[in-house]
Amino acid sequence: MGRRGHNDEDFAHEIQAHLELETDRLIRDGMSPEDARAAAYRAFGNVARTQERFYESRRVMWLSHARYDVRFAMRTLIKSPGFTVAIILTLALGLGANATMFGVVDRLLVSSPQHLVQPDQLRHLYLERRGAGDLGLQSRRLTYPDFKDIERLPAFASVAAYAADVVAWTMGSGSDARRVQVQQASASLFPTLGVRPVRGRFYAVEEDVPGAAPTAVLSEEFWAREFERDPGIIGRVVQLNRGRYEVVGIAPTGFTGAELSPVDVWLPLRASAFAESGRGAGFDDRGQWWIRAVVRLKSGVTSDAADAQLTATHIAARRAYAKASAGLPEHAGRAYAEHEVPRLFTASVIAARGPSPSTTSAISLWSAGVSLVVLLIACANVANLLLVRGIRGQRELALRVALGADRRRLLAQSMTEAALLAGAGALAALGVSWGSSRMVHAMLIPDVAFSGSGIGSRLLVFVSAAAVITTLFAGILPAVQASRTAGTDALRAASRGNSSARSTLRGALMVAQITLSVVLLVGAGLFVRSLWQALDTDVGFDYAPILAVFLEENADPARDRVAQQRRRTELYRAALARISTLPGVRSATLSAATTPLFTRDGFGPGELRVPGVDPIPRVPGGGPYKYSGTEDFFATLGVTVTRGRAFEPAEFQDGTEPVAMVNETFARTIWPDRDPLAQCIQYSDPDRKGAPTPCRRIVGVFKDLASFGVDERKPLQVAYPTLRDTYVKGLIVRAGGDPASLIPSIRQAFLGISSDVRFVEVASGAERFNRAVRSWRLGSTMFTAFGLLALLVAAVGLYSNLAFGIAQRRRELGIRAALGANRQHLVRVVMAQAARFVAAGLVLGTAIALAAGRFLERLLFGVAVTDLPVYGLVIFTLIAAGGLAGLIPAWRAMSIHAKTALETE
Amino acid sequence: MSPQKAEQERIALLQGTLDLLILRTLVFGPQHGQGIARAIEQQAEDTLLVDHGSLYPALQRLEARRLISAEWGTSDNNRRARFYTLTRVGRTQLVAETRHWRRLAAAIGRILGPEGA
Repeated sequence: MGRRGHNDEDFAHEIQAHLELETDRLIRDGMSPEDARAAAYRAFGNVARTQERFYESRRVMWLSHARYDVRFAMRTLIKSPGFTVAIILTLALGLGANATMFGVVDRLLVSSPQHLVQPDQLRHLYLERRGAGDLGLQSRRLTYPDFKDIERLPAFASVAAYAADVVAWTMGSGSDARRVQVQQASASLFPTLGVRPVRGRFYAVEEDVPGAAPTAVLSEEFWAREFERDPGIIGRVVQLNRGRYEVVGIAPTGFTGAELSPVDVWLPLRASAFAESGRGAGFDDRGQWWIRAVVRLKSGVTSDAADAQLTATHIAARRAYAKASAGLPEHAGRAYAEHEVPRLFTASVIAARGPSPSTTSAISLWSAGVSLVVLLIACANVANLLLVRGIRGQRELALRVALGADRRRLLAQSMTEAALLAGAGALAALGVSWGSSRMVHAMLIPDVAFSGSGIGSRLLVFVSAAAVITTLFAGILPAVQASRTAGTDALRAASRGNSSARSTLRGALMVAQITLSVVLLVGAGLFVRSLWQALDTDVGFDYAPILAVFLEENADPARDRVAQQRRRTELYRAALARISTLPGVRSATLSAATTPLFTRDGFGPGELRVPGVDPIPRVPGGGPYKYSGTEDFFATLGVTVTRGRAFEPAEFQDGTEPVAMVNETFARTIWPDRDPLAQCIQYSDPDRKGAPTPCRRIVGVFKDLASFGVDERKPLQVAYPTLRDTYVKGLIVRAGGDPASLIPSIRQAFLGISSDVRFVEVASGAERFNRAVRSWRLGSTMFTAFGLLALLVAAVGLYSNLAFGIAQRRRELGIRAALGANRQHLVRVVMAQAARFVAAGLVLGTAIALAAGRFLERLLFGVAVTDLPVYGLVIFTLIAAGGLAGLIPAWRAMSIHAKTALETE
Repeated sequence: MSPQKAEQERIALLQGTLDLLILRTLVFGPQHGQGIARAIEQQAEDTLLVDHGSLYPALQRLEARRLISAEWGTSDNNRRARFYTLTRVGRTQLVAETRHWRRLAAAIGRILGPEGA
C-alpha cells in the first residue's frame, strides 16, 4: 500500500503528533492538560473523517473502495467459515442444478440440432391421419414414394430424406465385430442443413443411387474413437453389415443431422439400401413407413402455404396410386381407408417443440422449472442467512453509521460480500454442473447427443447471469436493511435486540422456503411412486433372467430372400441345440415373431380374421401382434396362462389340429360376452401363400404381454405354435443365475457354428425394461434430488432462524428463567416458533402442490396426483425436519442460565 | 489564555486559499502541520479559522503535486513530527498564485468600493 513514502500508519502518527503539539501549546497557554487535550481534539474535528479523506485522496476512489471492500468482505467471510461454506454450498447446488438443467433444456427444447444453418427455415415433415371415431395418428414417418411426391414442391428450397431410425449396424465380422450407429440419409441432407465436412467431402447425389459404389461419412467422434483421428482415413474402406464402404469425409463434432440421437456413420440412403439387400427394397412400397423428411422453406413461404401444397399433393398422389393398384391383392394397395383424412404439415426442426414432444423433454422442462424453484429457495436462504448475520452485526453497523460512515459505502460493502459469495458459488456450481451433467446425460438421457455442447459459452452466460441475479436478490435485502438503519435509533434498537419489521421479512422468507420444499417433495413423491408403479408393472412375463439373442449373418449374394431366411433359421436352430446345454441356461427357445420388450411383429391387413368380427377393432395399445416359438417358448418367457391351457408339444407338429392362444385384452375386446375357448381365428400364413387357412381353435388365454415397454394401454396379442419350416427371428434364453455372465458363452456358441455368423447381439431383458421406465426414473431422480436439496436448505434455514431467535431473546429467556419458568416451557417456546413456520409452509405448499399437480398428471404412471401416502409422507418428513432443526436451538434455550444471560446483555 | 477572538467572529477559509497560505507559511522554513496552523492563525491575528482536520488533506494534496516535500523530524519540544518544506516547484507556484490572488482581491475590492461606503 505504501506510496509516496506516506502510508496510513504514518498519517495516523502525524495526526497524533499534531494533537500532542497542539495540546502542549494550549498547556503552555495555561490550560489544564485535560482541557487542552479536549480543545486540541475539538479544533481538529473528526479524526476518522480526516483519515478517510486522506485515504480517499490517494487513488481512484471506487477502485480503492472496491479493493478495500473485497478485502473486508473476504476477512469477514473467512472469520465465519461455517456460515461462508453453508452459503457457497447452497449456491453451488442451486446454481449447479440449474446449469445442468439449462444444458438439457437448451439441447432438447431451445437450440436446434448443431451445425444447422438458418435453422428457422428448416422444418420436419409430419403426417396426421384422422378419421371419424378413429384414433388420430400423428407421426413423422412417411413412405419413400410419398417423399418423392413432395420432393419438388415450389414451397421448398431443398428437401432431404433419411431413415426414421438410427440403427445399429455391424462393423467388421466375427469375434471383432462392433456395433455402430448408422443413419441412412439422402445426399441432399448435408446441403439442406447447410453443414460442412471437417475433412474430405460428403457423398454426392450421383453416389446415392442403387448400385453406386458405396460411400460413407464418419462422425468426428466416431473417427476419434475408432480410428484415433487417423488423417489417412479418407479413402479407407470399412465393412459395414454386408457392404464395403469407402470413407469420403468426416462430419463436424456434434453433428446429428436434423435429430438429436448420436450417429457414428452416415450412409447414402439408396446406395446403402441396395448394398444391403441387393434390391431397391422399400423405395417403391407405399406401405413401408420408414422415412423422415426435413425441408428448407423458400424464404417468404409461410408454413401454412407449404402445408396446403403438401397435403393437396399427397392426397392426389395417394388417390392416383389407389386407382392404379385397384386390381392388386389387398395388402399391396394400402391406400387410406375411406374415412381417413390425411394431412401433411411441417413443424419446427426442434422436435421437442413439435406437435408431440417426448416425455423426456416434458420431464426435462419440469425438472428445469423445479431447479429454478430450488435456486429461489437457495436465494431465500442465503438472503436469510445474510439478514440474520446482518442483524447480529447490527450494533457494529449502527456504531459505524453513528460515527458518520457513508451509507452508500455500507450498501456497497453488503453487495460486495454477496457478490463474492455468489461468485464463489458460481465457480463451485460449474464444477457441480460438470459432474451432474455427465451423470444426467449418460444415465438418464442417453439417447441424445450432448457432445460438443458441454460447458459452452451459453452455459457460462447463464451461470454468470444467475449468479448476478442471485447476488442482487440475496444481497439487496440485507444491504437495504443496513443502509436504512438510522444511527442512534438503530443503536438503541440493536442493544435491545428488537427488530420486528425484519423478523416479519425473515419469517416470510422462511415460510416461502418450507412451502417450496413441500411442493418439490410432493412432486418427488409422485414421481417415485410412478417409478415404483412402472417397475412393478406386470409385463406379463418374467423379464429379469431373460436374454434375447439376435443373429446377423454374412449374406451370400447368390441367395434370394427366402434362401437367406432359411439359412438364418438353420443357424438359429443349430445355436439352440448348443445353447440349451450351456451351464447356467435354464431353458431356451426360438422366437418366430414378436420377442416381447425387444421386437414387435404385427399381422398384415387381412392376415388375421375372426369369424363374425370384421374388421378387428383397434385398441389404444395397438395390435394384433403375433407370438410364436418352439415348444419351450411360453415356459422360457414365463408367461402365465389364465384360462385354458398352453400349447402341447404335439401341437408343434404338422398335421395336428391348428390351435392358437390370445391375450386377455384380445379375449375381452373381440368376444366381450362369449367364452374365448369356444372361438377360433383364421390366420393366413404369408410364408405359405395360397395355402388354405383352417380356423384355429383357441385353447388358452394368456396374460397381457408388454410390447416395447411399460404402458397402461394393452395391445391385442395372438400366439400360435411354430410349425417346422417357419422362419426364426430370434432366440430367447432364460438364465438360472446371473444372465450377464452367460453373454460371452452364448456369443461364442453362435460364432462357433459357422463363419457365416457376422454379429450376435445379446440383450438383457432387465436392461431393456430399465430403458422402458427411464422417463420416470429421470423424473423421480431429478425431483427427489431437488426435493431433498430444497428440504436440506430449508432445514438449515429454519435452524439458523431459530438459533438466531434464541440468541436475540437471550435476555427475555434469561428473565423468564430467573422468574422460575421451567425448562420444558422454554423448549416449548422455541418449538412453537418452529411449528408455526412448518405449519404455514405445509398449508401453503399442499395447496400449491394440489393446484399444480394436474399439470403433472400426463407424466405420471399409475398414481393419482392427490395420492394420499405421498402427501402424508411429505407432511411427516417436514414435521420431522422441523423438529430436528428446532432441537439444537431448543437445547440452547433450555441451557440458558438466568445469571449469565442477564450479565452478557 | 491567549487573546483569542470568539469562534463566531472568525472567518472560515475560502475554498482553495488554504493551499496558498500553507505555501506562504513555508517560505520561512520547514514546519510541521501544527506549526503551520498556528502560524496562519497568528499571522491573521486569529481572524482566520483553520480547521486542523482539513489541514492534513491539503498538505497531502500539495505533497502529491510535489509543491512541498516532507520528512520526519523532531519539534522544539522534542516531539516527533512530520516537517514540510517548500520545493522549487512550490516556490514558483507560490509566486504565481500570490500574483493571481492579489489581482483577484484588488478586482473584488474595486467592485465592493472603499470600506465604510
